[in-house]
Amino acid sequence: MPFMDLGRRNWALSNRVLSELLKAVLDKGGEFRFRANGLSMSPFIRHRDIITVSSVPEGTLRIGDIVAFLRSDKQRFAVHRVEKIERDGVFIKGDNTAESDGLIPMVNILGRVSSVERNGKQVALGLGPERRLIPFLTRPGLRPWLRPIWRFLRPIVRP
Amino acid sequence: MCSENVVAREIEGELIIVPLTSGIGDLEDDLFTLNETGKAVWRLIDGQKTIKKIARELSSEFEAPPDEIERDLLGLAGELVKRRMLVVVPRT
Repeated sequence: MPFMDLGRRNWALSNRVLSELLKAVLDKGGEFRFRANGLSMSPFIRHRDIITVSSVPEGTLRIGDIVAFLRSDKQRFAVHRVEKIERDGVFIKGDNTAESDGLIPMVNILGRVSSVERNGKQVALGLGPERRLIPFLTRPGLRPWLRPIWRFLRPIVRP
Repeated sequence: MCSENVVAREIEGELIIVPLTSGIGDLEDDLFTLNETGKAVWRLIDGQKTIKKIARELSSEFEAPPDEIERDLLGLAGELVKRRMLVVVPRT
């Protein structure tokens, strides 16, 4: 083995490493592309979809935007949807989770999801103007009423 | 000097280099790491110091012959240049 070595980093990244790299790339003005892990944003972002995160210029965050953020303890990083914007921060919740992540300070928002890819194709649903309705429609109490609509949307969302 | 097209961060003791392609840091592409001596090299690369000067500094830090260090350093620098993580700065 040489004294100095450039190696490929091909093992799984921890949540912390992922968030640090995301911050570093966005700070440099770039975008960050990585594979989603988990079901909390299903059906709009599914496990193993590829998501691209861009920086959020001040004052441009809107209800329905999907953001990469650090949870309040700053230890864990997640990608969920903005459901309410307050002066002190934003309320965030996964589309497929029963509970909100609570009020997240603006400094914990790392970036905004600008595209989602599934099986090599762009998934637009959930990122366009309809995104503003999604925080309302995904409230736990509404889910039973939404099943017929979901049956209609399912073939579009899951190509 | 280090290329504008990479982001390098030392996290949990590991130096991870993310190449940026058209401004995108893509985890679907390769990420790279440097071992302890490689990390020391990365810290010393500033666009000012020559390979010889870096080799001399590392030689005292790692108590190894400067020739051996320089040979390895040239190998690593060549690899980093090939992968566009380093940019060769002409001597002025």
